[in-house]
Amino acid sequence: MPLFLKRKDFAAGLLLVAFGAAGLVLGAELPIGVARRMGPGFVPFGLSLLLILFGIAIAAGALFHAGETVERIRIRPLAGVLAGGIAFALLIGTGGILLATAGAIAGAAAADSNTRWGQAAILTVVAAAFSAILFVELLQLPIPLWFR
Amino acid sequence: MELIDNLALGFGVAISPNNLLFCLIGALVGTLIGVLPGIGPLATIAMLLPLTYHLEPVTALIMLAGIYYGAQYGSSTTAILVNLPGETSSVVTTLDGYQMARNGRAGAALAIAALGSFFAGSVSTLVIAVASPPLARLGLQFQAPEYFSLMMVGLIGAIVLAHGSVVKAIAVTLLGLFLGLVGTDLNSGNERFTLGFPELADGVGFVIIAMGLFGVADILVNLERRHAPALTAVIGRLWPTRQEFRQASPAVLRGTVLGSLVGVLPGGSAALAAFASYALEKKIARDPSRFGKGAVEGVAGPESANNAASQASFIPTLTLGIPANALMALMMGAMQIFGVTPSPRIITEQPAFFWGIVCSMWIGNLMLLIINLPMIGLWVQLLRLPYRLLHPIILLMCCIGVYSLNSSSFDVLLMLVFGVLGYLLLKFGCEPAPLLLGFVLGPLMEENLRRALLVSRGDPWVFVNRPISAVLLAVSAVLLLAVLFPALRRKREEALRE
Repeated sequence: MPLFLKRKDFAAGLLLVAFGAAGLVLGAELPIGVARRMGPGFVPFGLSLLLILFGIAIAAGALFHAGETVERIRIRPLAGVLAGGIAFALLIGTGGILLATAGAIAGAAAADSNTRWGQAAILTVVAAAFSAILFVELLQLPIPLWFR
Repeated sequence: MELIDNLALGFGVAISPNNLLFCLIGALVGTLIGVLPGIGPLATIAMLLPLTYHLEPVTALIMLAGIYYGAQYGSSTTAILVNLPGETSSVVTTLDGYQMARNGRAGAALAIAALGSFFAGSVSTLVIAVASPPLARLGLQFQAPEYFSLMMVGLIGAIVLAHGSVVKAIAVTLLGLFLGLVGTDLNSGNERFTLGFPELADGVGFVIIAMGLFGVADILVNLERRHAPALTAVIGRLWPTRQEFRQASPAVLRGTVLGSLVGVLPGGSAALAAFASYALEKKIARDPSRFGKGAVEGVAGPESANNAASQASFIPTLTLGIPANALMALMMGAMQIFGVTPSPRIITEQPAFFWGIVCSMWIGNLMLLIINLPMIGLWVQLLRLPYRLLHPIILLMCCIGVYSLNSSSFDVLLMLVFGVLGYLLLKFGCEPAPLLLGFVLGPLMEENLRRALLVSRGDPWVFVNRPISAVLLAVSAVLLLAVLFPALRRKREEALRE
């Protein structure tokens, strides 16, 4: 792989171009209008173009100037945290706050290579009790405790 | 005296038992978060929003403001004791504060930081009280072109003062503006970039973006790099010596003035004020070589400046509705959740709200002085908490916070998406803070641009023909040229280096 592909600026530029291009494609239907009567597509069109321009400029800079390279993306934290969040989202509506809390904490604990599972288990119980008492009992947020 | 009447009204609101209680809770939680490394004030305030939903707007804002400046106090503690700034605003404090601690003067450094912060907080509370009404009167004359230009200054200011590459900062701001477009266009009713999700018809909730970018993304980044704080041994005597007092006092004064000025600037932030104050102290010191080896002024100046600035930055937010930095954008978003739209009319229409918040800041600072100095040992114990026990709680609080907004699991998933976006931005060397500012200002800027062009019949010169707008645009242009011009760019890099 050529070196410039690994540079932070190149990746950042690509990310911006992706957003700009998505803006152009998804906003293609929006009427742009004229300056005195701006349509809903006026600002999106302008911003998308600017994003692409800046993205290209930043990525091109990485071709010619040496810069920092992107550090390795570790899968474990990413996967664990996302799994925890997704578990929370899926469980909270149906399974209630106790299960959702356990899901979030378990995912987050799995994300960390330093986790000690005994501690994590205690943390889960404490956090579940705490969020049940604080959010459901005291603050009366509309969240079920357990399966309805 | 109008000022006295206003302050009396404000203190009347602020010392109601309920408001005092939540001010104290805010200050305590803020200190707690400030001491714990790995959670910034942005994530904290976003995370704790659901705790305030059932409160009166003024009480909620008092608590959120307490968290904000409490975090500032707390972060100086870790900066001095373990050389780890809790927030960026205390980065400079590590330079001399930690050295003082190593010289056995940790107690004195903590006391000077707390006393200086208290003094600065008191003065800047007065500055807010004095400066806000005239500024709001000026703001009342603003129309669409002026507002557009003012927001432009705000965005450019934030870009100029961001860390790292200017071009990247501009691009990230554009990304924020772009994300602000998502949802139904108010004028035409067209849905924009909703990808067919009905949940996105009202746009992306701003708490969702804030928690994704600053809560979830921070966890992801922190899990990749490990740091175990090394505690310095003794705190020592708290009370500074007479000589230390003599050295600190003028530095506190200078820091307060500088901080109050920087805080009001568009894009100004507590961190910037601290850097500026450190540079100033070093420049005017008779013996600059003492700096970095435990100079008292190097703690007193920046610590006063960051507190003054963090409070002064409420001025443009509360009087003009223009947040000066990402944190203020968050505060403004919080106010909107409570149905309060910051604008020049807020002082006249809701005086109890405005003055109540201003006065509670002074009370909060007093509480913080008490919380911090005698209880310092307790906070130090918190530093022993390992991150492996913290990040699951942070993730949980983010999830519950976002879910409680609309009882929507979709929102939680969306937060995760923004968490990944924030993580990628950080990985690719982009600071995500300007994104939030762009996101909050985006819809307002579009609306004011539309109105200005409608009134002027499509003539873009309307922004230059009106004097206030022209001046504001000129300021943005000068700021932008200043950073792009190489000689000045070097200066900026020197000032922001760290």
